[in-house]
Amino acid sequence: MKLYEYSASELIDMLNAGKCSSAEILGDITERISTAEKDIGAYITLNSTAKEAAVRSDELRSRGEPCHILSGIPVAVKDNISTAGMLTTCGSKMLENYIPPYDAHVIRCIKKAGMVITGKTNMDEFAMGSSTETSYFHVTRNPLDTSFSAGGSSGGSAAAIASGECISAICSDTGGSVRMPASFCGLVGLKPTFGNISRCGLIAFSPSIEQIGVMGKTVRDTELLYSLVSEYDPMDVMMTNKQYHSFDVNELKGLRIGIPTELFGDNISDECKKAVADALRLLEQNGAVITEISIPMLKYAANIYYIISSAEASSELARYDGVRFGHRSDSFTGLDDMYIRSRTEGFGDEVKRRIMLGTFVLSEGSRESYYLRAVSAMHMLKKEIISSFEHCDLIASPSYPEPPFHLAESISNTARYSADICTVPANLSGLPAISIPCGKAGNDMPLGLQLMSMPFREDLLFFAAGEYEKLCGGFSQFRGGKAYGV
Amino acid sequence: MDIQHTARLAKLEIPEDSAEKWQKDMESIIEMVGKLPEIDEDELLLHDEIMPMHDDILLEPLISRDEMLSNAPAAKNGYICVPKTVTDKEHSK
Repeated sequence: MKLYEYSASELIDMLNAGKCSSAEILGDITERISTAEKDIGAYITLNSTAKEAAVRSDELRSRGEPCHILSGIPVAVKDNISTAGMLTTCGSKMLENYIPPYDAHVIRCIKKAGMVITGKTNMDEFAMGSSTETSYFHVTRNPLDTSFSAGGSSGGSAAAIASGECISAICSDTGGSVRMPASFCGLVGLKPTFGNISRCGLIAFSPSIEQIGVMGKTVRDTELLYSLVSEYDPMDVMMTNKQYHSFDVNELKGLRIGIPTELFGDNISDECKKAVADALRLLEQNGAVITEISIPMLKYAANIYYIISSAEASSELARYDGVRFGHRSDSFTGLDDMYIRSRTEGFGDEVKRRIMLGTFVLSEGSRESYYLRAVSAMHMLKKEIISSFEHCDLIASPSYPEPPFHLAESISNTARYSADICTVPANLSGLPAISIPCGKAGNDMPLGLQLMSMPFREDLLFFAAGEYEKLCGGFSQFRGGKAYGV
Repeated sequence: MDIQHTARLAKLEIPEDSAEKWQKDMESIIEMVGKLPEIDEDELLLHDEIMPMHDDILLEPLISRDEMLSNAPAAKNGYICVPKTVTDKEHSK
């Protein structure tokens, strides 16, 4: 068995027992990248200094010096998270040559712990999309079947883990961009509570709802990485200084799981409903209590999301004008023309659509009927979700309303946007949510179960997800033996 | 929605030969997102939800000017270069 086939937790045990070195793990991964990457396209940039980091970790360990539990474990980083001295492109021509002068807070955490950054992963341009097809550089293919999308926008990160081109990954989730690709690739993906991981150094798209999240092969892998990068950072003013405590629940008995009827109706495919219902039945047989709940505002969630995130994007992306950084057009007739040409050449169509939508909903005559109504509706949605926790401890739904789809599928923008219905509520309400594999679709691709909890109760998510993982016999069954899947 | 007006506000250029497609695409998106619940007038402004202002605390700069400028498309002597912003005609007014 190659070292890239193991989970982070297994590799930690092997490192501690002296059964392998970090350099050997990286060696296997590098070899895997050289064979799989041409078919997968998970990365935009590989880290040329990865080997030094692995050797450094091995030296610390061999000298018996105290080192972090994750020291020496290879991790991939989504390409919208700033890495000092390493290209950070956001999957866009606009930032094709951008090299950040500083590390994001999460990067400082993983470097301090001695983790080995394998490279920067592909993504939909500026994290806008759910198939990793809007990347300026190339498409990412699903390692379980390369004719399928790996999901998005963090499709590169998910594909890298699922193909053995890294072990764990750090990515961002503005409307489901960690959870959805995790579900498409048979992985675990967590979007934590808003304010629980510093966004300092994350290239902004929609700051009032976006979060940095983590992805891994197992619940334990995901929790380990989350514990590391959720360190308090005063540089993100939205960061709450709450220490994460693992597991203060220890039994499924009596754990109340609510199913909102709005995420279990005609808008969800039968395959996804069945897989989630089967998973919940297994939890119920082991003591959990399943109840039906109703959150009427959920039916507006995707509409609210696209108004708010696009409004914020139109403002955040105004900084790309060809002056201080990013693409500047070669030919222009004056300052204003330079802005227009640089932006028109530097952004792809999906980013332009979002900027135009955001500009429209904030413009005179539209602001009240679109933006302010959406903000008000967002607060109503959050109130409804929070009060539904009087009846349950967790809210369950599919992670995505359809099974994984093929690449280059012809689908309207509005249909793709509407399909974010399951994931965007957690962003709009700031709640933590996790996606775990829970079954297979008729096309043999994995399906995801999403669990949401009250703010700062990531411990409940990890507990329930971990229990399901044990009961179903582990998640590698959804990836192993399929094309490049590990 | 007037596609060219919105593009001008967003500092983007939509070529005339694809303007019709853009117009159609954007209208269908706006129609979708516009389906929102009715909200009372007095609930719209959300006075109680205004975020508090944070104090700006000056920190010692960790990044040098040269590092900051290393990503600028054009820089000289510690300054960012941009095209002339004032035309001779405006200047002489």
